[in-house]
Amino acid sequence: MSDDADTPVDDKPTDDAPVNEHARVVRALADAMLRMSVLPVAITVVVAAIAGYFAAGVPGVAGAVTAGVVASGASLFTLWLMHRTAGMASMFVLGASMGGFLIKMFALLVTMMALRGVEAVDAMTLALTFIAMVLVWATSEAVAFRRTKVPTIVPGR
Amino acid sequence: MSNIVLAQAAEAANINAGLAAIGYGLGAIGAAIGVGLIWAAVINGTARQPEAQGQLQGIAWISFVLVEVLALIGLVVYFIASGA
Repeated sequence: MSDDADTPVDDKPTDDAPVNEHARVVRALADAMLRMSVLPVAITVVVAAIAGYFAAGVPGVAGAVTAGVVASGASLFTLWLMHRTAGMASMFVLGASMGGFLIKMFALLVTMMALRGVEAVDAMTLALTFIAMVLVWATSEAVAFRRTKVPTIVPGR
Repeated sequence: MSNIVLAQAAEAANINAGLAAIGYGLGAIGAAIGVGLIWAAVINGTARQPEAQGQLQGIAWISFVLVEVLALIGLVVYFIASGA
């Protein structure tokens, strides 16, 4: 049963670390989440930009686009973190995810405070688009998780 | 009389920003506790059944994303309530 896992796989990208089935599962999940999210997120940004234009003019569009970029950056950071920590032990992933959470929250707080007084960006459009983007990202990722087939037990290496 | 009302209104506006910051902090703490609990459960589960590590980490990451949404929404509420 464990012979397959021990056999070197030629078609995998050569990396200095051996092939880790658990890491492969997590990376496949992250890729599925990204694929599933791209289209809904793009549609949300476009709809928010149109709504922002009608609500507040050009600053509304700027607010929608800014919120789209910031929220997407935050969600992509999580997916990047999944890729980077896929092969690590759970205790290190805990540290990485908490650290990533702190970095992300601090960066977002600084970004939002910096954008508060900017006249070229409509604050309400920015805030509402940000909420919509976060919800769309989370929903898309949850749907991707639901649809991705993850083996329940990965045989030991 | 109207000066007193105006002063109270100005003071309320100042308090509003502080309250918003406190609310954001509380929201961030709640999400952080949730993230900690999620990964504590994963460490526990992996120690009991190492073969399920990939499955458990996948579940943990999607739970992490959903818990994180609360903190992000809290951030936006702070942004709005602090007088954007």
